[in-house]
Amino acid sequence: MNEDSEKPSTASYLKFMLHEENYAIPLLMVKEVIALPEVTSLPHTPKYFLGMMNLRGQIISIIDLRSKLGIKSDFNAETTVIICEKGAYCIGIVVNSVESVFVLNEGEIKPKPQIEATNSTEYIHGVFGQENELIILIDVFKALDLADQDVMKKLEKAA
Amino acid sequence: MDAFEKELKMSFLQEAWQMLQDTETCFLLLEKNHQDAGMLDQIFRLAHNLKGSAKAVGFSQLGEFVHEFETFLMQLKSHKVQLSETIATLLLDCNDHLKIWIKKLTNNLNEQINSEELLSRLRFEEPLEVTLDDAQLLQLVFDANASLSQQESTGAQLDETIRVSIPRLEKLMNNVGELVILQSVLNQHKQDIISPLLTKTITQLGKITKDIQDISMGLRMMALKQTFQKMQRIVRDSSAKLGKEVQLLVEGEETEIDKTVIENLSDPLVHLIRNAIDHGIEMPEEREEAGKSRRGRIYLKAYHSSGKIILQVRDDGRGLDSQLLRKKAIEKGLIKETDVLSDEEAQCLIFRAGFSTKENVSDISGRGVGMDVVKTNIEKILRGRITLTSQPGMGTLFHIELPLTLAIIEGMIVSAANEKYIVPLAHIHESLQVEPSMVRKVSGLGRVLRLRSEEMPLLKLSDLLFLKPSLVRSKNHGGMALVIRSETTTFALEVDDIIGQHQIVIKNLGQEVKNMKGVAGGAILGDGKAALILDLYELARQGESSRRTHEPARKAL
Repeated sequence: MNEDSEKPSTASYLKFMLHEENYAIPLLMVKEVIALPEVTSLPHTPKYFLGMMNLRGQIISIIDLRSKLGIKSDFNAETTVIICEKGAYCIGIVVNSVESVFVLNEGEIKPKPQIEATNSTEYIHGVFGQENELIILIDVFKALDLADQDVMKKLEKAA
Repeated sequence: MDAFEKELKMSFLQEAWQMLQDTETCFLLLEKNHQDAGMLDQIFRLAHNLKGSAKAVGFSQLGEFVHEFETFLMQLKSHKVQLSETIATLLLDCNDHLKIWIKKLTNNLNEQINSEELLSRLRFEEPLEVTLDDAQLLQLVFDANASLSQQESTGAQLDETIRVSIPRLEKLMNNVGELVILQSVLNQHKQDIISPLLTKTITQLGKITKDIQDISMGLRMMALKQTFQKMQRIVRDSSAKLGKEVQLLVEGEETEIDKTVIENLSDPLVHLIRNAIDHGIEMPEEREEAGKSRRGRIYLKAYHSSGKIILQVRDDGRGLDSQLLRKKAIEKGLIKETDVLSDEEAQCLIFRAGFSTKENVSDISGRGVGMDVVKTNIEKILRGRITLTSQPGMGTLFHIELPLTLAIIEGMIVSAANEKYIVPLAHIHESLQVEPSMVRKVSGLGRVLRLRSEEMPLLKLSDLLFLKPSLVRSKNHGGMALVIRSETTTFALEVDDIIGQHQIVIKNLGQEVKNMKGVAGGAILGDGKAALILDLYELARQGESSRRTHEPARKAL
């Protein structure tokens, strides 16, 4: 994240799984991690928009990051929701499982590979290699809300 | 400027704003009662405080101005200057100037303000001859200071308050709401517990929870005092501009309402009062001819009644002429020549958009965009009701009913496609079981419900929400329906089931779904699940347009 890359050379990230791939987001934006709660679905929303939940009195939208990113999406006992917070936004994202917290030097982040992609890869912040593993560092809000806002606007126009 | 200094200045500005609100009331009262020495003392004390703290936090320019102002007040106090209409206006102008100053400083701490014009007016009012000698003047200052310190010491005891930010309060409310839900879960499982001690504790916990809920709800309540004070000023200015004599009599300014209600109440009230002055109250001569006192009266009254706030604005002016209103409405094409209206219905015409009987448009009122805005504000934003009664020659009474808070509504919980939804009870006219014999299919219109010789479109909630058809089909036919009525539209809404009526605490939805149409908010149900509060009027409008555009497509399915 930009705000982390300013001065401190190290930053903590939360590593999680989306199907069989490793992803990570800055730990600072993680509010909490919970098991998949009861979700109330919302009308007029895209498929990846699972609905809303009650987090101790606050209503939070739950988004399936996997189906949003075009990754195979299934639900089991390990399915987890990460509550992410940034500015006025507070969103829960559904992931397969949460793995660990790790610290890395900002210098160790490699730029994302330049590949022709069908979808925009704007949300990928960089890539980090660790013990034969490849972890993709992403900006959750870039991956979600811009597109979602568009969906809402399109619906408004249609209405 | 370091953070500490900035904080210091900001808190001064907040405090100063409060003080100026107080002084404004004092000036208005002073104008009414010229001999009130206590009032002058109080203004003097407030000005003195303002000067002191302005200088202390480094707003020396502001301090200088208040100093000049204070000097002027001193002359009033010593009767060197006689209080008159012009003086009162000057005082209020100074007060306004200070208010603008404070506002500007709040936005930009380094803002420079030019107050030469007012200062010269303040100095101009200085007496030409000085009758007091120095010793007398000294004595005066001494007296003022003495009463000042006396009042300060009593004031300190009264002012035991702290400021709390709204987000912090909201956090508390959220948690209290959750506490209440958990408490009800505990209560449900009380029978399963064998230990009498635990059962007793749960009961006690229940009582305390209820108390906490009441207290925390009360934290957002504010007295109407400030709003009413603002009205005094509006009456003064508007009546002066129109050359009328009007007195505002206020009752129940200590009545408490939720802060959000108060914030949205001010504009409609201003409109009503201006209208009363402009249209209601006659010119002094006209009043005398009619055998009334020269001075018109407007009564503003607030009180609690069965869980609601009642606000009344009444004037003793000329009242509404239903014949004239009818004529105007026909002229403007709002009603037809042949329409038969009762007096009450004719009077309600003033709430229609684009209606104004006033020949001349003044800047007080008369553009015909007043009353309909008042009505929609009160009904839509404040979820209240406004009615009027008027008698020609006797005056007009506006009766406003408001909910105590915007945070809680009465809601009906319904289900559609396995999901629960909340419909505001205020929208529901009645609910009924739909029999197949009542429903008719009209091509091009969809299904029509015939209810007691009235026909209305029958819309399915799950269709309006585009819920997944597979789920809908699994539900049996012949569900329940709610009849939804507004002035412009009537329709029946078919739902799978009606679950019950509950008090619903309204919660904000996330930023990402804020712009969703047809949704008025979210809420958490007794079982802890989140649910949507529906805006049915909006949904029906959407359904209407989508039915028109998608009709062929749907048939293909």
